[in-house]
Amino acid sequence: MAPEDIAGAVIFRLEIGILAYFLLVNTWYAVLLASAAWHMREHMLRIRGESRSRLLASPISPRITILSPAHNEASTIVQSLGALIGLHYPNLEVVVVNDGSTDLTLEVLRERFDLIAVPPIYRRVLQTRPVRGIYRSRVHPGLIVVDKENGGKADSLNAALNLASGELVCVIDADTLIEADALQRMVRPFLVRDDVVAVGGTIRIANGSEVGAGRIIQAHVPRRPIAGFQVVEYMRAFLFGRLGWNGLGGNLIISGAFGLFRREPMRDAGGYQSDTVGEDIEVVVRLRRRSYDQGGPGRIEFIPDPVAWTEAPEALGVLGRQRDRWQRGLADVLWRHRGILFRPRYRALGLIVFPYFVFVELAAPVVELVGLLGLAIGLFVGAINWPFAMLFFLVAYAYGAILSVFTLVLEELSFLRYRHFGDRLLLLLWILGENLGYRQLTVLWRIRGLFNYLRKRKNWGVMERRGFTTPPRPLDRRP
Amino acid sequence: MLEAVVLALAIGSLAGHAIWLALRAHAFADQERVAREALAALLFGGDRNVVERALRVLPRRSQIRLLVEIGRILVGGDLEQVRSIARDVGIVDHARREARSHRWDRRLRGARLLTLFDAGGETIASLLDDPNDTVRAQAIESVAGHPTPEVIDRLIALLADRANFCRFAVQDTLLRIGPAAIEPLARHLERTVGPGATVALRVALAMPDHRFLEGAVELTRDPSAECREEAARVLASIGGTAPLLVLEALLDDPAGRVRAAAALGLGELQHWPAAAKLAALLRDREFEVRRAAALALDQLGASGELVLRRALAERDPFAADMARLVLGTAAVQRGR
Repeated sequence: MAPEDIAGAVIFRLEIGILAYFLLVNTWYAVLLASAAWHMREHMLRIRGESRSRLLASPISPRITILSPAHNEASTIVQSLGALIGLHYPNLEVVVVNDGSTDLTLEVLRERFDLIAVPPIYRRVLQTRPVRGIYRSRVHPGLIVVDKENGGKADSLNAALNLASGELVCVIDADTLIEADALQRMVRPFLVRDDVVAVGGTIRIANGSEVGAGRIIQAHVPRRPIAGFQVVEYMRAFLFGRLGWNGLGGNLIISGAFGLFRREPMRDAGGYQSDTVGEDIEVVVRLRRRSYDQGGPGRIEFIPDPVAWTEAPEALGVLGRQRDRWQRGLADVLWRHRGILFRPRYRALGLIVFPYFVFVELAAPVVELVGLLGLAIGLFVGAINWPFAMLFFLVAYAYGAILSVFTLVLEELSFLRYRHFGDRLLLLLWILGENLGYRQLTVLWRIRGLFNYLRKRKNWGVMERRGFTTPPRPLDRRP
Repeated sequence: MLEAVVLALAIGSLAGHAIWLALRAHAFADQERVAREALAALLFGGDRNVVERALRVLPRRSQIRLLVEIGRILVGGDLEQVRSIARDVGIVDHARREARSHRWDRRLRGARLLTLFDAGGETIASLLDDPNDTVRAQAIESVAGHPTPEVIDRLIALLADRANFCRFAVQDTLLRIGPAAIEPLARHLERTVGPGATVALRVALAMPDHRFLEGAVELTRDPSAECREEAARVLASIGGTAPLLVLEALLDDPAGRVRAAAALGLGELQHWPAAAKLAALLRDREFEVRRAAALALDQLGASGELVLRRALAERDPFAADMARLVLGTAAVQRGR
C-alpha cells in the first residue's frame, strides 16, 4: 500500500470518528432540548398567573444579601446600587466591596449614601486581603460598604460573604441589569426544596435594547452580527443548555453575573478560590462535590426566567480574550476536580455531567478543528468525496442550527421577550449565519484558551465594554 | 434531506406562531380596545352594562386577561365592582370548573382566578387537600381573605405539610390573617413538638403576643436546638418579666445557637441582673455566643458597659477582643 493511500485511509477513518462524535454530541443536545422543553412547560404552568408579590415577597421570605464587588466604578456605582436597592424584595441587604479602587469609588459612596464607619464585629471565616474599613449607610440601613485592599473579584466576594447576614447570598456584577422582580423569581426553588444550594437564571444580551434607570425597557435583537451571534449563543446556553440539565444530573455552572446561593454551605466550602480564572464554575463544582462527600444541600437549580441582562463585547479582540479566558477557566476547574470523572459515588455528576463537560465543552473545539483540517486535506488528496463532506457539514453544523431554531421556538412559546416580529426574524438570521465563520472563530479562541492554560497563563485580559449609558469599564462574565 | 425538513418545520412553526399571534391580536383588537375603555370608564362612574356587553363579545381568554390586568391594580370598591363583573360574565363559574379539573395545571389556574376574584368558598377549601403542592399552596394563599375558625385550624394543621412551599405559604397566610390566628396558634404551640413546632414558632415570632408564652416556655425543653432557639426568640419578643428566668436558664443550653438567642433576648429585655452570666459567656467557645453576649451587655446600659470595660482586662483574649469591638461600636454610634 502506497504512503498516500495509508494517509488517505487514516484521514477517512479519522473523519468517520469525528462525524460519529458530532452525531453523538448533537443527539445529546437533542436530549437536552427535550428535557428543557419539558421543564419549561412545567415551569410556565406553575408561574403563569402567579401573584409573585403576594407570596414570594412575603415578610417571612429568607433574607438575601447581595454581594457586589466594585473596582474603580466611581462613575457608575451610584446608578448600579440604586438599581439593586430598588429591587422588589422585602428582606434585602446589599454588601458592596470596594476592592482597592484607585478612583473616587469610596468617596462617591460615602457622599451619596451618607456612610458611617462601624467597627467590624464579624467572624472572618474566609481569609481575604486586609479590610480597611466597614461602613453602613444612614440613608439605606440595609447597605454595607466594605473597603479593602485590592485582591480581585473572588477575594472581594469572600470579604462580602464574611459579612453577609442573609440566609441566601446573591452574587452579581456591578453593571449587570437586573429585572425588578428577579429575586422573587430566583428565591422560589429555595422555598420549594431544602436541598437546593444555588440557583441561576437566564442572562440575556442587552446590546440593542432600550435601557432606562438601570432596567431593560424594551428588548431588541442587536443589529450588529457579533452581538447578534452572542444572543443566539446565550439563548442556547441558557434556554436549553442549563434548563435541560435540570433534569439530567444538574448544572455545573451558575453565571458569575447573577446567581443566588445558600450562605452557610458557601462559607463552609471555603468561598471563592482566588487562584483560578473560572471561580464561578469552580465554586459550583466544589459545592456539588462537597454535598456528595460530606452531605448537605448540593442541588443546583436553573430557572428559565430572564432575570438579568448583560452587555456583550462587540469587538472581535475583546470577545476573543473573553472566550480564551472562559476556556482556560473551564480547563482549570475540570483539572482541579478531575477526581469526579467516572466516579460512581458522584452519581450523575461523575457519570454524566462531568464527562460531558470534559469531552464536549472542553474537547469539542479541538475535535472540530481536527475535523475541519482533516476534511480539507481529505478533499485535497481525494481521500474524501464531496457527498461525505456535505454529510459532515450537515451533522456538524446544520444539526446544531436546527437545535438553535428550536431554542427560539422555546422562547416564542414561553417568555417571548422579543415582542417585535422583526426582532425574531433577525434572530433567525443570526442563527443561520452563526455557522458561517463566527463559530469557527470561537473554536480558534477556545483552542487558544486551552493552549494558554497549558502555558499556565492566568491573566483575565482587558475586557472593555461600551456601557449601556456610561463609559467603558473592565468587566467580564460567562453565560 | 431529513434535516432540511426538520429545519423547515421549526422555522414554519415559528412563523406560524407569530402569524397566529398577530391574527389573534388583530381579530379582536377593536373589541378589546372597546372593552378596555369601558372598564377604564367604569372606574369614573361609567355604565356597568356597557362593560359587560363589551366583554361578552370577547373570547374567554381575552375576558380573563382584561379583568386580571385591571383587577391586579385595583383595591376596595373598584376591585369589588370588577369581581362582580367577573361573576356576571361567567368567569367565576369557569374558574370553579377549572378548579375541579383532573389536571393540576387547570386546578391551579382556576384557584388563581378564584383568588383574584375572591370567589373561592368551598371550592378553594377543598383544594387545601390537593395532591399537587403548587395547587395546595395557592389554596392556602387564597383562604387568607376569609379566615373562619375552621379554616385557621386547617391551616395550622398544614404547618406540618410535607412540602416546603406549602409550609411557607401557611406561615405567610397566618401572618396575613393576623390577630384571629393568635389564639389557635397559641393552643397549637402548647401541644406540639418537633419541626412543626419550629415552623409555628416562626409565625409567632413575627406577631408577638403574650398568649404564646406558655407554649414557647414548654418548647424551650424540645430536643431540637433549632426549636429551642426559636422558642427563646419568641420569649424575648413577648417581653415582660415572665420569660426572664427561662431565658437565663437557656444561657446554659448545650447548643450555642440557643445560648446566643437567649443572650440577645436578655439584652433586648434589658435584664441587668443577668449581667454576670452574660459576662461569663464572653469566654464562650463559640464566636456567635460571645458576640451575642457582648451585644446584650451593651444593651444593658451602664451596668453592661461596666462589665464590658472589665472584660478588656480579661486574660481570655477572645473575651477581651469582643469587649473591645462592642465598646468601639458603641463609641461610634454615640458619635453619630
